[in-house]
Amino acid sequence: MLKLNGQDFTTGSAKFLDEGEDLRESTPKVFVRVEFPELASWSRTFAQLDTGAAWSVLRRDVAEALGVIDGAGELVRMRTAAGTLQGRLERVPLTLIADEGISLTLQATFFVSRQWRGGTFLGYTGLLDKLRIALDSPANQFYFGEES
Amino acid sequence: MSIPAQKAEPLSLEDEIRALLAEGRISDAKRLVDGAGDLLPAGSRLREIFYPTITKLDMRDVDRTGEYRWLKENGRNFRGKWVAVAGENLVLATDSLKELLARLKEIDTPVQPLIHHIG
Repeated sequence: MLKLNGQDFTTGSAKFLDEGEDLRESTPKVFVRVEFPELASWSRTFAQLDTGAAWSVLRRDVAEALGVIDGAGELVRMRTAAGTLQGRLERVPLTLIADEGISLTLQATFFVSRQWRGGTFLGYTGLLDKLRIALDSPANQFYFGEES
Repeated sequence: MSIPAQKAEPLSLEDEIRALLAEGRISDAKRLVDGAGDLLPAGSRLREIFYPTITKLDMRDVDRTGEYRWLKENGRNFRGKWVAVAGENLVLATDSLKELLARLKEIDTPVQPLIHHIG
């Protein structure tokens, strides 16, 4: 795992996919492997890493499958490329899956909105801002861990 | 006789944080949460928004090289679909996540498939 000043900086790593969910937009993005433990049966999938997103966001159908689409979370507005959307902040367990080292499960905060037409994003507040992350982009490796 | 002007009730701390969140003023809301001390209980939902609980899990995935290769080589043929891929094999392609999850329960695969929506 990665070290900083002799101490563990991250505790898990996994290969990321750099070909998008939307193949019509042929720009590479970073898609990391995640699991939603509360989703019925098979739930290992991808989420786009986006440090520029204020909140993490759930795909609408994933939010529906998780039963949080019309939840009781805090009402918020979020500016997106598709305009300003109204939604709620919902807490959803999410596992960052490691190929090597230790996986991490977070009770993460996601923005959920019926108006959202995009994919699932891992954004900054309430998720990435509490993790240590690093990318080895030439090797498609995503490193992650929590502050010790 | 004039009617005395009504003084607006000051917002509670929680309502103030909610108002800031609703306006999209995330950093201001977080500053209030961080400075709230005992005024905001440890288990408060407003505090939890900013502070996810994190648990280490001694679990690793299987090698997904085959799934990644399949997605890169074949993904564009399945635009608009949810797919389940195990190794270099397509297990299932459906129009909806709901259908995919329901049908996967009835299929045995040697490894847990990766599921992915292709736009």
